[in-house]
Amino acid sequence: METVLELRGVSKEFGGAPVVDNVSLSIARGELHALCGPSGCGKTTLLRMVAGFETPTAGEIYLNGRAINQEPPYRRNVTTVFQNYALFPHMTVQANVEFGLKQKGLRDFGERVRQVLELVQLTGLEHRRPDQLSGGQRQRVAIARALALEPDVLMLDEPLSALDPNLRKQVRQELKALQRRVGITFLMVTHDQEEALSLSDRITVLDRGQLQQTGAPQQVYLQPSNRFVADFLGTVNWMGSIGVRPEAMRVSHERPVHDAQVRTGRVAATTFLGDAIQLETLLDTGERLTAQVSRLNGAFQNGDAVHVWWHSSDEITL
Amino acid sequence: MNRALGLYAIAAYSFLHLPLLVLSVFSFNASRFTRWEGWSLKWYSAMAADAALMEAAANSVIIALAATVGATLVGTLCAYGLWKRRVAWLTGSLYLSLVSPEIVTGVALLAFYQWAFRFLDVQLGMHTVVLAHVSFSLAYVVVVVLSRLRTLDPVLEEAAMDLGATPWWAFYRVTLPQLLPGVAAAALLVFTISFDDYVITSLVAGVDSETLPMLIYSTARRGASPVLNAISTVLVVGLGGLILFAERLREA
Amino acid sequence: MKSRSNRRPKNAAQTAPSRSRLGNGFALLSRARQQAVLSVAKPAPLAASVTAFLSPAVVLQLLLFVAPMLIIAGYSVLSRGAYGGVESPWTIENYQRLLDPLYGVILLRSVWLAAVSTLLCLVLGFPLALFIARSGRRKNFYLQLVIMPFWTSFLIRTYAWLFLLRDTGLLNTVLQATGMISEPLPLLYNDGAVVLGLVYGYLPFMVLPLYATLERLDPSLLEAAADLGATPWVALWRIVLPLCRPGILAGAILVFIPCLGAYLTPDLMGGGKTIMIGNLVQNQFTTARDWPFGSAISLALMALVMLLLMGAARRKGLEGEGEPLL
Repeated sequence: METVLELRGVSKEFGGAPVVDNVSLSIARGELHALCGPSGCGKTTLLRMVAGFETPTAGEIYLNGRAINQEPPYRRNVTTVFQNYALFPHMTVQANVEFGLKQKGLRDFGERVRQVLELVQLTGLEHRRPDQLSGGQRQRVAIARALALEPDVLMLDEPLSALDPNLRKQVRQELKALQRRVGITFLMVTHDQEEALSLSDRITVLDRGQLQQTGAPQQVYLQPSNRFVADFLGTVNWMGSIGVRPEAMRVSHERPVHDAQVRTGRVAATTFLGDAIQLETLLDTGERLTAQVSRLNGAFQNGDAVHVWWHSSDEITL
Repeated sequence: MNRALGLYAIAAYSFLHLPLLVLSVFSFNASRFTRWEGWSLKWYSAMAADAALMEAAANSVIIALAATVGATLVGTLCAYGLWKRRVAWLTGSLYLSLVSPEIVTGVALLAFYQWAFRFLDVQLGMHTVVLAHVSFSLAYVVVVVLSRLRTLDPVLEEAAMDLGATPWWAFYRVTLPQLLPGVAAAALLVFTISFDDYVITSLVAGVDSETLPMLIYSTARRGASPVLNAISTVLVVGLGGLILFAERLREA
Repeated sequence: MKSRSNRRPKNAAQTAPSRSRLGNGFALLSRARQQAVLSVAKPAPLAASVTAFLSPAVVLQLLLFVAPMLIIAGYSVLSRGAYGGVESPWTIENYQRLLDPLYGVILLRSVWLAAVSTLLCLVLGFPLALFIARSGRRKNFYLQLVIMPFWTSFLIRTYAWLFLLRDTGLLNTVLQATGMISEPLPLLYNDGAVVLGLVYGYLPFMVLPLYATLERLDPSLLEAAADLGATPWVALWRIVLPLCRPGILAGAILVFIPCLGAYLTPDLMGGGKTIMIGNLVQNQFTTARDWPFGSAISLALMALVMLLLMGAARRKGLEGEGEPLL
């Protein structure tokens, strides 16, 4: 696959403190890549360096094989959908979308603007101002504005964080569908692992400025390269260097007949989660394990003697 | 307690506004003394007929307009620069100029001009007054425009540059349009403080540049004058209107 | 869903890498040093344009504020010239003269009159600010009503008092006409008249910051005080007033400084009988033509102003650059 964006040993320090530390990463053309990690892990700084708002202290950034470290933001063919969208409040939707095209000195961009607005389903709202739009509509204007320039890489900074929680899942799917349709490389920053897992082709997990792992969602979730990645992407029951995710844990009153890893213990707490039940179990060995089971699997009371078991193939080994 | 406060407020507002109100009423007095003898507009026509007065007023308008253009232009650019980058000495210097007693600013400028005139073949006049006014009103512009800038989202300019705009173009197309109400308010403020200034102006003015406040001052020192009442009324209404307009812009 | 799965990773993020960080500490440090040497300081792409925006103001400020101040600083240590100019030799005599009782009295009177005016502004301004802060939807209107006279010509507002208070002014005319007095009262040209003029002129400077702090005051604090048995007056004294301290300080500074350097008010309402520092400075530069002494007084006045501001900034507040003083 063709590489569109490449980072080689990129570092950034603010006042001597490393924020991004020797990150190397390459992004393939057309992929939807998520940079994720807890707040302060350097993901937004990384994005700002690609956009040109920060200059790396060390390392090089290549776009289409050309080093762009010294290029100012307005000469890089990458565009950003900002966290709070940064729509120009004094311009209409149409003027916002046209802004970048005018900078490029293009003429006859009317058709392009129309297409882009249609793509994000904003047709008919061309003459509204940002303060006359809903949160979801504003986001779509920001995406349209960035898409209109047909960038090599379109970057999204926490694209769903400003949206109503109810809207997020829906927009997530729309965003993915949109990316597939236009085929432009998306580089997205998020602190929400669920968002990263469900949306992207590949995920990069960062912590304290350092790259922890890059890979497909299934790969990083099921075969995390270290404990941080495993914990960041979801809960893990650690037993020494072996970990089992709660959804891979089974709980039953009877001893399972399968060939499986089995422990015995008692139910210490049950939590009803709606779509599942979370069981805290206290093993006879004194360990605590958390299991997430379907409520169809039977009813459990605190103090019930149970068997907790899982398949070796579901273990995470570091 | 609220009733007591209300009564007090009436008294306080009377203290603030009655003197000017009474003065305005007496500008319509037919008598030249402070004894009411019926309504008349004769002091207003006397005012309009006074050539020296009209010339002073014209001088004041010219000076105020020039100072407004200069201070607003330089101050707006400066505020924008300070919004982007902290320059401690410049900020400090501007604040110091804001709190300097007028008389000190005035004598310092006078001393500076006299010193500079040793090397230049110029004299005190309208130009020295204009420069002085630009100088002391610069800080006002910076304060007003900067407070407006602080309400703007700095990410907007990044967004503009991200979409291909150069820094100048981003300023011109994105920041300036949103800044205009603040700039206009600053300009009106400069106009009024420049038009109104007596202390500094009287020190750096030349023989050809008597301003309206200078004329008002010398008349007031000589004694009561019903024409002065009329001038005052016109100025209070005019400048007051301008300021109300400016405040409305600042809130916009 | 989200909060549930997020809980563990957060803890992990705090603990796990910190261990490896400790072990890597030395390596990191040496790499950072290496980079510091290797990477030439690259100017941010926009730095040049920011400089362009600032430069006109820098030139203006240096030429028309900093240079004039430096010149009078220089003059203040020179001698008075034969024809009113300045001459060498260098001397500190001008500063010594400030301590001369003849001038010392004027300095002390200025500080005293400014202090009295500030106190009066506080006493008169606080209830007014309280009234505005509690006037609900009409707040802005009442606030405008305070600000408006301030922006309409200081000179004319002072003249309005002359019109009212002079011997043949409205007040004396009315009092004489009603037979309450036979001779006009000497209402002008005394300390009281100067204080009146100063209070009238600078009251808005006190009301605005007081109003700003009162407006920010959480109303539930007063409800809590009432709930705990405090009468409105007690709540005012024990809750509102102490919480207003920053506003009181700001207002006091904003009033005291211009009062201290006042020129026009003592000139017109003191009529040359009540002289303050400002008049002394003006006199040295015009009638007396002793520029070195006038410069020394100016500098002493500036030093006083700066000391006050620095003291206030240390106490709190004014360091917030760009916070409107007016």
